[in-house]
Formats: sequence, structure tokens, C-alpha cells
Amino acid sequence: MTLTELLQQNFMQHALLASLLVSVTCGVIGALVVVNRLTFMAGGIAHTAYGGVGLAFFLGAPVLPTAGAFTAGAAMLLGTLTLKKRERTDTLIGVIWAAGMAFGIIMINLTPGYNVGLMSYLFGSILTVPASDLWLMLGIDVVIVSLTLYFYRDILSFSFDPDFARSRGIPVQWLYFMILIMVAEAVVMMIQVVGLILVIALLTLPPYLAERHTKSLAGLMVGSGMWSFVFCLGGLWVAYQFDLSSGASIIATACAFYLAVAGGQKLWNLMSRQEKTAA
Amino acid sequence: MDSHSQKAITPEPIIQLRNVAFDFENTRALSDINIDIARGEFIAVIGPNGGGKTTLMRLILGLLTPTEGEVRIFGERPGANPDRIGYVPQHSNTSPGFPASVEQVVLMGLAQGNSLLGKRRGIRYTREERAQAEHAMRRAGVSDLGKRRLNELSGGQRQRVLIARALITQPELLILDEPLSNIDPYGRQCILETLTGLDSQTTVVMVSHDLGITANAVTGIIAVNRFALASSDAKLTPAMLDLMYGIHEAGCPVHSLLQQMVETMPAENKPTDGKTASGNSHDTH
Repeated sequence: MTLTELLQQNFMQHALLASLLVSVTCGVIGALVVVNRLTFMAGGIAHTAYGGVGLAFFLGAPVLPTAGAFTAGAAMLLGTLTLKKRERTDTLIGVIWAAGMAFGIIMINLTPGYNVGLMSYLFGSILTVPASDLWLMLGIDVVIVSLTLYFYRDILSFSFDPDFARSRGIPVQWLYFMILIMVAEAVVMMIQVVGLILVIALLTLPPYLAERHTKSLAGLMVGSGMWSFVFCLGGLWVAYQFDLSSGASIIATACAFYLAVAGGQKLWNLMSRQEKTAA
Repeated sequence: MDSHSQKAITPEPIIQLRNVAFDFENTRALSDINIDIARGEFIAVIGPNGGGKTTLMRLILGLLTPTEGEVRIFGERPGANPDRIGYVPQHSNTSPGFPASVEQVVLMGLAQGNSLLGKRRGIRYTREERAQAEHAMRRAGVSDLGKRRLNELSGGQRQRVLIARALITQPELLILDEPLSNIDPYGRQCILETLTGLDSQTTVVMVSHDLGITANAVTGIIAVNRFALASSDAKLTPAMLDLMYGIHEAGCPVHSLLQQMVETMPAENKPTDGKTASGNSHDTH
């Protein structure tokens, strides 16, 4: 099949659209996760989402909306618990992480029949995204980008220095919950692309690569989104060429870029040092 | 400075604490605090680590609510006038790797949360807002660093950037939490010059655990170690030294240490009777 023929296929057009839509969210939320040091929290939320997937299977309800509501609730619970017991944040995340997964597995166990599609939520399946999910992803994009633009100054101040933000009268707890719910919805959206096991990589690797060349949070969001789109396209190509799992291919592409950039940087620093020594 | 001092005739104090106590997880962190601070004063809040200095500042800022007593700032509840108060935390509380230039950090001082709706918002700042930032950076001596990132600056420069962020709203009250910690002597001097160069109507309350910070501009001292003692003449009293360091674990040679500290202090700041005190007096008046 030629590239033109491939691009005319419905599943590939959906995959490209899903890549674009998920990259927008990835850019915004990935930057927020990294600057607010919420990586472990995001990992907990992502794995808790499995409880929502299991619940959807058990109830026979649409997966993404059910998982979205379940994960938002779990994020609120995590936010409340971690605010009350800050010194126990990592323990509490670990508990909710495992509890969400266990709940999902039990729900699946209680669901009659064999659920073939379950693996796609663990490792992603961008090539099977239906049109209805694309509309849902677009809706999540619009909400996340709108909220971030409207509250940008508050989010920026909160992310840099929460105490100072509070002293300015900014409702930081409200913002914290808003960010956690946005992370929850982003995670549910990304489950389609890379699966909940691999979500963290797509949230953290793009900001890592983008932060070297940006002096603003907005710039970090845009740069992360662009890197994310590159990873999704690259991963799709790798998956197609070598007949591999799309989710794993996307993350492998991201990791390869990360290693190339980090290695290249080290090499460049080494060569610069040697040149200086020689001079 | 305190309500029973020689400055009793000064107008309504801008900071008033009455019988304030604060419990942290069922442990009393501050007890029976009575403080008045008048406009234009430069107050050094000193005391040992864990003595409650930062808790006291957080009560004044409205970041904590007292368990007992009342705090009034500009005659109102703390937090009611965010534009009139500038808060400067320790630079080490912020991440130097944060993706923001110095100018953007200073502009964060304009963020305002009185109402989530109907305020100027958006990613781009107006020319007027940038002029405010420029003015604040000039006052803090960092106007040539506007385009740099925080991780390219020294600790002292980063601290002055946070001072500029607090100054952008031209506050009447500046509260600084250990701004001289982890700063080299040159950086400390720059920060002190920035603070002493402020408008005489600006009230400065600066926390430090270093007795040596009592710079020329300091008009009063508050010693804090669960209780508080105030002095209106910028001189440490034996009772203050005792409050801060008199209670100690058995075997800790606190008194000889204090003697050394007092000997190395500037002459004008030494205790008035020239010796350290013993005993456990905690009179907050």
C-alpha cells in the first residue's frame, strides 16, 4: 500500500486526527505536570483510570465518558487526601493507584464473557479510535485549552510559588483541583493513544525536550505539544513499517528522541570542553 | 513598636496581633503574641529555627488562621488587601529551573485572585504592566537581568528578583521570610541596600535567624521562640536572648555560644546591659 493510499484509509485519518488532538492536551498538561512536579500523581491518576474502564465494561457503558467521570472523582479524592496529609502524599498516591487498578480488575472479573478490547486500554490502540471518541477528544481539548488560557496568570503564579499566589488572594486549592481534573481527563484521552501504562512517558518526555529552548510556561506547552505530535507521527510510522503495537511504538520513538538529544548534548559538551582544553 | 513602648502615641498600627496563639497538629507553636507595628518601621524578626518566625509571618499574611486571638492588617482581616502587602519568600522555595524569564517572574506579582471573573487576563502583558515590572526591577537592582532565566542567576540575584516581584504593586508593607539565608556576603549587602533604599513610608518586616542582620535601618526587633518579645529601639535585650536561646537541652553550652554571638555583634545592637540573661521570662509585653 502506498503512503497516499494509506492516508486515504479511514483508520489512518482517525489516527492522525487523534495524534493531533492528543498532542494539544499532552503539551498543555505535560507542561503543568512537570512544572508542578505532579508526575507521580499523574501516574496514580492514570492507573486509577483502569477502575473506570473496568466499571464501564461491567455496566456496559461507553468507556471514555465513564472512565472520565471515574478518574475525575479519583483525582478529587487524591487531591483532598494529599492536601490533608502532605507528608504522606507518595503513600496515598500509591494506595489509590493500586486500589483503582484492583477495582478495575475485579469489575472485569465480574463482567460476563471475555473482553477482547481490554488490552487496548492498557497499551493503547490509536488505529482503532472511532469518530465518536474523536469528538470527545476535541471537546476535552477545547475545555483544557480554554481553562488554561483564561486562568493562565493564576496557574503560572501558582505553579511557580503557591505560597506567594495565596498571598495574592489566588484560590490555590481551587486551581490545584482544576489542574488535577484536567490531568484526569487528559489521561483518559491519552489511554486511546498510548494506553494507561505508558501515559506518563508521553506526559513527561515532551516537556523535558522542550524546556531547553523556552523561557515561558506557554512556550513550554507549545513546544511539548509539537514534540508530542512528532512522537505520535513517528510512532505511527514505526508501527506501520514493522507491524508493531502503536502505543509502544510511540513511546519507543519518544525514548529514542530523548536518548538522542540527551546523548547529543553530552557529546557536544564533551567536544566543547576538549576544544577549550586544546586551545 | 509594641503597644507598651515609647511609640504608643503613633497612629493606628498597620499590623496588630492580639493574644494570638497558633497550634500545629495539637502542639502550640505560638502563644500569647501581642504585637503592634507602625507605618514606616523596619522590623527584624529574629529567633532560632523552629521558633515560629515563619508561622508568625504566615499569620500576618493570612496564609494561616490563628487558633486563638486576632490579627488585623491595615485594620482589616489578613489577606483583605493583597496589593498593599508584598511577600518575599526564600528564593530556595522556588524552582530555579522554572520556564520563566526574570521579567515574567516579576510580572507574576500582578496576579490577583480577588475574583476569578472580570479581571485582565491572558498570556500577554500590556505595555503598562511591563512598565510596572521595569520599575520594580529597577528598585530591586535587577533591571539588567530581565531576559535571563532564574537558573542563570546567583542566589542573591534570585532573591532580589523575588523582592522585585513583591514591589511591583508598590506595597505599603513588605514581608520577607529569611531573605538573607544561603546568600553570600556581597549578595546580603545588595539585598539590605535594596531594602534600606525603599520609601520611608514602606514598612518592612524581615525574618532572620541571624542576629547579625540588625542593620542600620532596623527600627525595632521582635524575638520569637514560641512567645514573642518586642524592642522598639533595635537593641537586643537580655530577656530576648534568653527567650530565643535560654531554653536548651541539658548539656548544650548555649550560654557560652550566646556570649560569643554577642561579642561578634555590632556595638550598637548589643544587649543594653552587656550580658546574656538566664531564666525563662516570656513576657510578650
